[in-house]
Amino acid sequence: MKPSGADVPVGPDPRFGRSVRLWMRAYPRRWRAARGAELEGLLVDLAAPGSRRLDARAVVDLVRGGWATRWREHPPLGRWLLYRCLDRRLPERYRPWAADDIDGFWYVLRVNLAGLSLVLPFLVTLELVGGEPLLPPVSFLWVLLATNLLSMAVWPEGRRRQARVRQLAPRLGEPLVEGSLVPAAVPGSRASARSVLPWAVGLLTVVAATSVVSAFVAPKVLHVVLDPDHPGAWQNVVGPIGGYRGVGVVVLVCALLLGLLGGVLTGRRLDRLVDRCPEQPHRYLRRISTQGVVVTAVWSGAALALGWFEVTGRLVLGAGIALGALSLVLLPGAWIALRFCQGPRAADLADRDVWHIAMRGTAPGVARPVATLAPLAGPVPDGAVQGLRLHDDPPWPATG
Amino acid sequence: MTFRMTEQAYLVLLSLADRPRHGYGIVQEVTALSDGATRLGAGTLYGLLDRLGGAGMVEPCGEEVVDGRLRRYYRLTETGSAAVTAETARLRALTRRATSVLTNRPALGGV
Repeated sequence: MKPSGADVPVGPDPRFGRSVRLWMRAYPRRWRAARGAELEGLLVDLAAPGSRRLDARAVVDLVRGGWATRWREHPPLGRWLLYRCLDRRLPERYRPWAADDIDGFWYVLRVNLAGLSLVLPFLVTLELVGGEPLLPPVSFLWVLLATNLLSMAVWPEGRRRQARVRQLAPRLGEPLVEGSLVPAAVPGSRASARSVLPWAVGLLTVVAATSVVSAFVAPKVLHVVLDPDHPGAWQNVVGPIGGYRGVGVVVLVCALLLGLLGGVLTGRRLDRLVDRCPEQPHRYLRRISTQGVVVTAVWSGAALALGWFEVTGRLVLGAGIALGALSLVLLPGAWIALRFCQGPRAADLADRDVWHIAMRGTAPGVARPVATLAPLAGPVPDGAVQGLRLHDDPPWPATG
Repeated sequence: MTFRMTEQAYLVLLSLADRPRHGYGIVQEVTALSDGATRLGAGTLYGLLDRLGGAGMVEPCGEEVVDGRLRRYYRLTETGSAAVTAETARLRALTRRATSVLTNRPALGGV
């Protein structure tokens, strides 16, 4: 029997596809991956020739269908609350939904807000019953929101990895199918030294420059005043910087001299050891991650803020000098390493390799494979279940 | 979860009764079967296919790429064929009873 294709019209404007993909986001991520192309093809077939975007009726139908699909796959309220608030494992039929949830862009924020939602009703109840002001001020909530948004950029993949292990990996005796997440050893990724060092040098330069400015301009310092009436007692008093400015400058100059010595040593070690670095079969290099860039920007901003507070007298000079001294110790070495890594001999160096060589003066070892979860490739035998698996076992499931 | 046989679900099953069809073919066949009264949108159709597939009444049976568009074909399973036959029999019985009621009703204006 020959399948019927019926009469198929010619496809409309290519911009139509972008409109379809935009509205198709109403469907779950996994559904789109499996059937999105098919649905897009149908929408193109149904559209009038020359259409540039979906018409309103099709948009409503698509969004309604997408949300109905999400609703059908959503776990019941009780299960969902236990999963979201107490991290309880969902039954097997809801694991695909959990996989979509964990892979979602807002996952970390959802988890953090769920934790907060457990505390807030408790505080509200106590405040209403006891009359004591227990709720944090609105400004604190803004800080909390900003922290949560930042947490989406810092280490989100680590949070997801943990969640996949808890929620998605089949446990002992559970059935295995194609695509089930099973333990696997895979090559790990490291940021290349070439991509990390410019950011590291930039951060160290910002911190060092800020501390130098603070050392020369900051008006206040913390004085320790002995109490003449009580022997052995003292008071901390904020006062004019006076002669302590010289102390701060001397600390920074000493740090810079130490850093220059370290820089020369780093250059020599890199030149001597870079050709002795072993092959890394269990590792591949990538560019610096977005997370790394965000962390660098946050620390740079924090250093600038600290310098501003010290220069305007809102904070006493102290922390800026300590951070500046640390930066000046590291900066020359980082700069020399950056120059070295721009050359052809350092193409395979990771950020960790440079740190190892500079600090220990020995060649780094061979990186180990990373233990992680990976989709099980098919075909999987009928009746396969997750068994006890040791590191040396072959990657095939037990059958039973 | 029990499957609720709606008119749209019945029409989709009916459209697959004679041969496998892809999404666009199903939409056209449903329009023809309902004499233009039912025009399925893409979201509605795939919601129905998900539900019918979950109930084991339809299944994919191949795909092809035409003009860069993926077309997946669907066909009835034995369960689906039995369901559409049973629903057709139910509608036929209903039609028979309805005809009988309309034939035997008193003339309008009578007491």
